[in-house]
Amino acid sequence: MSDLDEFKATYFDECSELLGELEEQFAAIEEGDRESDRMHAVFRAIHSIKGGAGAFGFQRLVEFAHSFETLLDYVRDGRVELSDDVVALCIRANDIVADFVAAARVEEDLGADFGAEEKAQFEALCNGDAEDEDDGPTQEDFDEIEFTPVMVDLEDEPASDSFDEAPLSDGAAADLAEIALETDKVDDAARGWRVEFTPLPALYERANDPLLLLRELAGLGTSTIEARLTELPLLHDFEPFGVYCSWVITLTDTSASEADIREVFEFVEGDCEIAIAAIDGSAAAASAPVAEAEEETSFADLAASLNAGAEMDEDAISEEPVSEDQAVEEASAANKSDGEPVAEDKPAAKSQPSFADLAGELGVTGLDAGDEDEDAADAAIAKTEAAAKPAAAPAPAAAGYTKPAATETRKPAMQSIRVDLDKVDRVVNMVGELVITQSMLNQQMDDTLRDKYQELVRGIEVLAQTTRGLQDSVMAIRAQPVKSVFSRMPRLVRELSAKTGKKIRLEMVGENTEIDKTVIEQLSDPLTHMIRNSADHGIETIEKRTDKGKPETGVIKLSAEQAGGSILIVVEDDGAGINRERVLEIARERGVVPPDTQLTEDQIDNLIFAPGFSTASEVSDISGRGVGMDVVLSNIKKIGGSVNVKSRPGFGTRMTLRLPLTLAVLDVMLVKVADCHYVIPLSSIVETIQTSRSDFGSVPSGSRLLKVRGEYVQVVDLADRFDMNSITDDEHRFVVLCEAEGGVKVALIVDDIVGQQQVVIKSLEENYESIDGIAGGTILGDGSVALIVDVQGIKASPTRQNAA
Amino acid sequence: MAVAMDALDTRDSIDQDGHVDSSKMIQLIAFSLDDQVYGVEITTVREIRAWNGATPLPNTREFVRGVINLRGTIVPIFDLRARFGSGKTEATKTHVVVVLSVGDKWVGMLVDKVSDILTVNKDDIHAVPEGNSMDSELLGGIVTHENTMVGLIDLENVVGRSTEEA
Repeated sequence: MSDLDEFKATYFDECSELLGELEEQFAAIEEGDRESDRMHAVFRAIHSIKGGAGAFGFQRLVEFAHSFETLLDYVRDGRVELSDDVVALCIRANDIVADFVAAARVEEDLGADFGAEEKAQFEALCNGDAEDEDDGPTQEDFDEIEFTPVMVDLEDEPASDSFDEAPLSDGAAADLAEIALETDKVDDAARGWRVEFTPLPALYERANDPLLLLRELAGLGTSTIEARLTELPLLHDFEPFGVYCSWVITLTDTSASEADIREVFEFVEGDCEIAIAAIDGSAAAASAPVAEAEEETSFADLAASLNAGAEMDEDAISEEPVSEDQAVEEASAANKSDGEPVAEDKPAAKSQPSFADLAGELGVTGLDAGDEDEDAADAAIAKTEAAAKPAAAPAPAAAGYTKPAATETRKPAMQSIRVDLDKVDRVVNMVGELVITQSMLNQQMDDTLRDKYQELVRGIEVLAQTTRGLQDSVMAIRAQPVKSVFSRMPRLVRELSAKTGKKIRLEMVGENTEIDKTVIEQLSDPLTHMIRNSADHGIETIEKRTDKGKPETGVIKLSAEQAGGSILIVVEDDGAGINRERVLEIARERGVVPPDTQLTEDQIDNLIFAPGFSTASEVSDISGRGVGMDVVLSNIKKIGGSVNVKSRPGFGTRMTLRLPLTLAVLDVMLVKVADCHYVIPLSSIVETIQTSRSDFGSVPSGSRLLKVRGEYVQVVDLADRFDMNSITDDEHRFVVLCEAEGGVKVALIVDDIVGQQQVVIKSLEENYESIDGIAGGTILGDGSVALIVDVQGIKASPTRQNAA
Repeated sequence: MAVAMDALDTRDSIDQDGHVDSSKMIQLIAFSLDDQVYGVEITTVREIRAWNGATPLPNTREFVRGVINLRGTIVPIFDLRARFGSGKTEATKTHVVVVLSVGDKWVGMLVDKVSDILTVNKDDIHAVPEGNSMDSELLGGIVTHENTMVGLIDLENVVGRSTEEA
C-alpha cells in the first residue's frame, strides 16, 4: 500500500505541474492565441490527469475530466467553435479540475453537484454539435463507450515498467472514440510508400518504442501496418528480450517525401533497418497481413504482442482481462460509427475474442500492445482506421504520439529527473562549506607562501575557480522559474474578480525569471496576500472607476526580474492607492506609531506591514489596506528579503519584494565591533567612510545624524547598540553606510573593517532564539562564530525608540 | 543505595548486593559550581568540552554567554552560575561546557568542572523543599550521593524562556 501511496504522491506532483501548464495555456488562449498546439497541450494535460485519477479511483475527477476532455476534443477538431464563451467555460472547468485534484489529495468529498453545471454545459455543447453531423458519430455512440477506470494491481506486475503508464489506461475509451471519429474523413488514396522497418536490439536498448515511430508514420498519411512474425521462435526458444518482430508499413494518401519518412526514423537511425520503396496508385487494404497473423497459433499471437516492444509485458496479460471487453467493444463501436467495418476485424469483434485473439490483433497492427491497454485499444483502432480507409488525419496521430506522459518517459533523451529536494539541499550545504573552506585557505596565503610553494598556490587558485563553478551549478539546480508560483495567480484574480464584482485583469511579466526553490516556496503566500489586497482594496468598483475616468477593467501587474544579486517581484495595481489618512489614524489608534510623530508618505505607506496593524478585520472594511500584510513581511523576511510599498493616491500602488537569489551563501563585509566579529551583507552596503572624515550632527534625543551627499542619515553605533565597549577611539572607527529596503539608509559605526568574504548563513533559532538586531550567525574560517547584522531591523522601530 | 561507578563502567545498574532493578536506576553526569554538586541525566548529555570562548550575543539574556560553533551548528552557551543569579563565571580553559539536548535544541552549559558519573535510584530523589520559588523552578529534585547533596537540574526551566518574564 505504501507503494501505491508513493505513486499517488507522484501523481499529485505531476498534477500540480500539469495544472500549472494548463493555467499557462489557458492564459495564452484567453489572450487570443488560438493555436491548435495550445488545445492539444490542454487536451493532453487533462487527459493525463484523468488517466492517473482513474488508476487511483478518483471517480468524480475522472468523470468530470472525461466530459471536459470530450469538449476539448470537439474543440480541437473544430466541431465546437472556440468562442470566448467556450474559453471562459474551459477556464472555469480547469479551476474545477484543480479543485477535484486538491480534494482528492486530501480525500475530501466535494458536494455532489460540484462541477455539475459545467459538465452539463460541456454535454450541451457537444450534443448540439453532434446533431449537425450526418455521418459523424453521435453523442449516443460516444456514450456507449462504457468508461471503466482500471485499478492497477501493483502486486501482479513483475518487471513492470508500466506503473506510470497504467494510469493512462482508462483514457483508452476516449482515445478510441477520438480516433474512430477520424475515420469518417475519407479520401481517395493517391500514391504511397512501402516502408520495411526492422528494429535491431539496440533500438530497444535505447528505450525507443516502435509504437511511437509507427504512430508518427501514420501521421504522414494513411498507414497500413503489418507485422512480420515469421521470425518468431517456438516458446522454448523464446528469448524475452529478443527482437523477433518487424513491420511493413504501407503509407498511402500521403504527400510525404522519402525524406519525411526518413525523418521519422531519424532518432533510431543505425538501430534499425529501413527500406523505403515508392508504390503507385491506391494502396490495397491490409487484408493479407491480417489473415496471416490470424493463421498463427494463438501463442504466436501472444508472443507477437509480447515481443513487439521487447519489453516484458506480463503486465499486459494482467491488465488485459480487465480491458479486453472494453477494447473490443470499442473496436466494434468504432466500426459501427464508421459504418464501413472491415472484414478483418469483424470476426474478432463478433466472436468475443479471447485474450489471444486480442493479442493477435495487436500483433497484426504490430504495435507495442504490451504496456497498457490504451495501446491495445489504440491498436485495435489503428487497424480499423487503417483498413477502413485512408485519411487518418494527422491530428489524432500526433496527439497519440505525445499524449501519454508515460510514453514520453521512455524517450531516449532524458529531459529531467525528479530528485528529492533534501538531497539537493545536502549538496548545497556541503558546497557552501566548501566555499568557506576555500576562502579560508585563500586567506592563509601570504607572500612567503606564494613564493615558496607556487604549485600549491596554483592548485588552490584552480580549486577556487572550480568551487565557484560548482557553487553556481548547484545553485542552478535549485533555481526554478517563478512561473510555478505565478501560474496560480490568474485563478486567484478570477475568483477575486467574481467575488468583488470588479473587473480585473492580471498581467504577468518575467515568469521565467529563475529563483531559488526555497524562495519560491515561500513566495506563494505573500503573493496571494498582496494580490488579494490589490484586488480587494486597491482596484475600485466599476462605478468608481468610470467616475474617475479610468478604464472599467482594473489591471494588476505581476512582474519578476533579476536585479543584481536579488530578484525583484513587483505587484502593481492601477487602483485607488493607499488611504494614508486612514492608515495613519489606525496606526496611531493601535499604538503602532506614537501620537505626535511625523511620518513621511513612504513611511506611512509602509505602515501597512507593521505587525499588529493589519490583522484586524476592521482595517480591511474601511479599505485601509493591509489584510495579513504583516504576514507578507514576516514571510519575506524569513527568506532574507524585504518589502517596500509605494503608492500614488488615485493612481495605484506598487509593492516590491526584493528577494535574495540564493539562500545558502551570502557575500558579506567582515567588521569588528569591540573585538567581536560581525558581518554585514554586502548587498545592503552603499559605502564605507572613515569616521574622521564623516560629518556628524546631533539631534535632541542625543542620537547622531550623518550628513552624506546632502542627506541626513540616522547613525547607529553598533558598540552601543550591542551594549559593548568600543576600544577604538572615535577618530579611527568606520562608518558603514547601509541601505535598508525602501531606500531607507542607516549609518552603522564599527571599530574596524576586516574584509569581504562569503559566508554560509546559520540560524540562531535552530538552537536558541532570534535576537534583536541580528539576522543570524555564520562560521568564520577559524571556526569561530560571527553574527550577521540585521540591517533592516537594526534601526529601532518608532515605538521602541519612544520607549527608550 | 546508590553506587559510584567508574566513568567507563557500563554495568551501571548493579548495586553492591547484586540486586538489580535497572528500571529504577538513572545515571547522572555530576558537575559542580564552587562546592555544590549538580547533576543532569546522562542521556541528555551530548558532549563535554573545555571552555574555549564564545561569541557574545548582544541584546539577549544576561546568563547566555554567547554562541559557539559545534561542528557547523550554532549552539548557545548558558552560564549556569549566572543563571542561578550568582554572577558571571570568570571562565578559563579549565572550565567546562556540557553540551545537552533539551527538547529539539542543543545548548551548552558552562560549569566549573565535571566530577563524576553517578548512578542513583529514582526512589531516592527528594522533592525540592518549598521555599524559594527559584530553587524549585531550576531544580527538578535533590538526591543524596555519598552524603553529598546533588541538585538535579531542570533543564527545560534553566534554558527555557517561559518561566522568565520575557
